[in-house]
Order: sequence, then structure tokens, then C-alpha cells
Amino acid sequence: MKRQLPYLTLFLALIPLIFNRYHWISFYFEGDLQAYRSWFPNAFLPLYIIAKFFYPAVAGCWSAWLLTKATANRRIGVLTGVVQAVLVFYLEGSRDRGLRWISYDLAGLLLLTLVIIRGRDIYFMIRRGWHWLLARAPWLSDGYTYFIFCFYIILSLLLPEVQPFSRYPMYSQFPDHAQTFLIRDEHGKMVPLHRYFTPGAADLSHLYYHLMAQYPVSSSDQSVQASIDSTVGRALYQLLLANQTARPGIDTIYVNMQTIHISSGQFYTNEITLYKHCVE
Amino acid sequence: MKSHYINTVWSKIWSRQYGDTEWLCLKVSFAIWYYLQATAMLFQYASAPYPSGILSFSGTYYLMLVPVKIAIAIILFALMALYVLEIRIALVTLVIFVLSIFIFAIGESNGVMGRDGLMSLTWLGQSLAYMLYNAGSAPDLRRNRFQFPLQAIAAVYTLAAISKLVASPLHWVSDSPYLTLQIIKSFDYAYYTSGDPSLHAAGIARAQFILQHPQLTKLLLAGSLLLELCALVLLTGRRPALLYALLLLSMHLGITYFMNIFFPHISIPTLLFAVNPLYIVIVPFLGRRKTAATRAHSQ
Repeated sequence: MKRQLPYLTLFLALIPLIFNRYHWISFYFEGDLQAYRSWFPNAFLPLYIIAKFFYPAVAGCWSAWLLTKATANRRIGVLTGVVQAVLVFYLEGSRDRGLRWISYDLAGLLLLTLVIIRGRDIYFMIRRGWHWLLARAPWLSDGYTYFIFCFYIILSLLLPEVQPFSRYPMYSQFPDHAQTFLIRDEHGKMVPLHRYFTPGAADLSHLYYHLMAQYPVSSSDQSVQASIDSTVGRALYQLLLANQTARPGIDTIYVNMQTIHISSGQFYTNEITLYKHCVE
Repeated sequence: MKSHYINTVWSKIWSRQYGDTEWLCLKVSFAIWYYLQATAMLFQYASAPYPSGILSFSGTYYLMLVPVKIAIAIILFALMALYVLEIRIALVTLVIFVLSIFIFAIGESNGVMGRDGLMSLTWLGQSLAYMLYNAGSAPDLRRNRFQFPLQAIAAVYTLAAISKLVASPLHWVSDSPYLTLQIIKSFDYAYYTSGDPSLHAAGIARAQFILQHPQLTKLLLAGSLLLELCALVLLTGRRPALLYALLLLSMHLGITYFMNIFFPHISIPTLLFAVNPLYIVIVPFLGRRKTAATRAHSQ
């Protein structure tokens, strides 16, 4: 029985993965609190806690206890329980179903590794690896060499985007559309921004995304979306007005937004007017 | 004598150690460049309609008044002079760090996320180097006054790589066709700002090149992601920092060529702290003077 214990532990950790193959069971594991409130109006909270937290907690404790018995190493048991709980709780909260599958797989892989390799061996492996690294990179032994590096990364990941902290997300993804900003006159002709104003199109873009972050994802209601666009468009115009260098020699300023798409190697643009102002 | 002169020059450029002349060259070039950037930011915006960071505290409105800005510019000039002359440098660089946070918060308070934290952090790094040296904790001051700001620079690149991996893991490389939209967007920004139609045509041409060379694009994107992720190399020594910085700068040149965007607040500190071009320009003259002195002595 003792020899079978580790495999039993592994099986327990992988139960959610098996359940996920049967939609009518996984349905209850994947619902959020709102869903449980609609399914079980009178008992949604305890059932939600059982589905989301009780199983991972029980499975985690049980597998940790089993591994402790199997390997006669309490440290492994504690480590297994903690890591598995963190993995499942953290990734369980993700809306991405694929991530949840990964969390269960990771938990299973971790258990398998710990079953095969004893804790003491893992400790010696890590220590040997560290010494190997130190021999080739002696600067790692001096904490002053990288303390600012570590602190700044950790703080930037934890804190919001405020000077001097930032996650530098520039071009961290390439969406399937791009937006540019321009102004046109009453004849529809493009007017260079620097002719009358200091901010450029890039500045308008920065402000646009900064303001749009306050609104939920673009509304399907056209009148609501038009209202948002108008409000943001007015803000863009006010930025231009606050930094005007010369009186515009045109009667009407249209603050427009152009959206660019790509399809089959061809580029397509769609332009809308965010705000219109008659110059007095 | 000529080969001796060349060897002397090369040994200074390719040295493992940081020197005092090198430090002076960095101070002068960094002080001049920083002062120009800071004053440009200080006077670029008349107000802070979306207060952010330090400007979100009440009472900071007065910092946006023109007389106050002029006073800040004068104080900053004086601080730059003290910095170059290395008078109370630990305190001076700390004060500049605080001022810098305010100055560069102005842009963010106008909705423009300039990602210019490095402009402030480089001062904090230098201040910490001197403070720890004065406290006796970090005696290698010659190295640390370069290396501490380089830590901030390496952290910035690493954060950029982490953002890419979190936002779009490996899709960042495979989504290269959509990169063309960003290229057109960047060139159109310049076109709609300046009115020069050749910019729009240039954007389309570069986008078409990317579309016609998908494998090359993926290779370049993967290479740049790897470069950012391994920015830790900047911390391993003077020579690796010099070489790695040249790679990073070539990446920036590529970005500027293809996307018409330039991040001066990241690439210029990298250039100054890791490459130090003023020192490289001056070193041949130092070598010549030393060689002439050696020749005179031997005669």
C-alpha cells in the first residue's frame, strides 16, 4: 500500500482534470458566484465554497499527507500542499478555462516530480546548481549588483502606473486594428496638428486611451458609444485648445479618429468624427 | 609608437574597470542631456488636467505656475553644476530624483504616459551609490555609480519583456502581420502632425516589407524579446554591458527605422551609462597626450 500511495496522490490531484472532460460536472466547478446565485438562490454561498475551495483544500491536504507518509519527509508534504493550493487557488480564479487545465496539470506534474525525487535530493540539487552558477557568474554573490534591479521590478509589478513606476507595456501586443487621430477642416481636408497646436497625433492617442480606460469595454448601444466618443473627443479638443500656438485659419475643426484594419494583405480605414467645433 | 598609442586607447575603451575620466564624461553628457529633457517637459504643458502621481496631492497646483517653473529650472541648473563638480553629490542627486518625479509627472498628468521613470531612477541609483559608499557598505564607488543606474536600465527592459510575455505570450512573435498596423499608425501619427505626405507613403512601404518577409520579421521579433529578457547581462561587468548595450541600441535603431518611434528616455540613458560616447571620443586625445608625455620623458 505504501508504494501505491504516491500514485493515489497523483490520481487525487488529477480528479478535476478528469471531471473537466464531463461538462455536466465541470459546469458547477466553473460557474462564478453570480451563476451559483441564479442556480441555487437559497444555498448559493455554501455550495460555491464547496465547489471552489473545499475540493482543492481537501485534495491538497490529503495529497500532502499521503506524500509525507510515502517519502517520510515532512518538508515535502508541506511544500506540496502549499504549492498545489497556490496553483489551484490562483489559477482557479482565472476566467481562462485553459489556464485552469494547466493549473491541474502543473499540480500533477509537481507531485510526480516530488514522488520520484526526494526532498533532500532536491535541496542538494538546488545548492549544487547555485554553486555552479556562482562559479561562472561571481557577481551573483554580491547583492548590491542586482538589488535595485529586483526591487524596481517587484515594485513596478505591484504598484499602478505612476511615476517612476511602470510595467512598460508599449507594444506588448499587436491588436487586429490600430487607431490614429487627426483634424480636418470644414472641407474635409486634413490639417496638420503642428500648424496650430503643440500636441501631436501621438499625444491625442495617449490621452484617448487614458480617458477610454475609465469606460467599460466599448458599448454595443450606438447612442451610448456616440456619447462616450463625443465626451472623449471634447477632451482631446480641449487639450489642443490649452496648447494652441496660433489662431486656426479655418472655420470648423473636426477631431477625427481613423481605425485601420488588415485583411488578406490589404489595409482598410474607417474614419469617424469624435468632436466638432466651430472656430469663432 | 603608433601601435602603442592604439593599444593604449583600446585598453581604456575595453577596460574592465571604470575610471574617473570616464565618470566625468558621463556626468557632463548626462547632465546636459537631462537638463534639456527636463526643461522641455517642464514648459511643454501649461496645466495638469488629469493629476497623476505626485501632482495628485493637493497644493501641487502652484508648481504649474510659470514663475515657479522658472525657479525650478534655475534650481535644476544649479543642481546640475553641483553634480558635475561633485559637491555634496549624494544629496544633490537625491534632490534631483525628487524634482525629476515631479517634472516627469507633468506629462502623465496630461494623459501622456511617457514611460520615463528611468529619468528619475538613474539619479536615485547614483545617489544610492554615494550614500552606501559614505556609509562604508559598498566601497567600490567607481563601479557602483555606473552599475546602480544600469540596474534600473536593465529592470526597464526586463519589465518590457515581462509585459509582452504576460499580454501575449508567444503570440507576440506570431502576430507579426498585425505589426504592420502599428507601423502604419506610427507613420500616420507623424503625417497627421506635420502634414508631410511622404511619411504616410513610407509607413505603407515598410508595412508591405514586413508582410512580404514574415519569417524574417518573426526572427527579429523573437530576437528583440530575447534581448529584453536577458537585459540582466548589463549588470555582469563593464565589457558585457558595453556590448549588450550596443545590441539594445541596434534594436532601437531598427524600431526607429521600421516604426518611426524612438524612446529617448530609455535608449539615451542606456547609451550614456553603458557606452559613454563622450568618453570614447575623448580617449584618443588622452592617449595621445600620455604618449607624448612618455616620449618626452624618455628623451
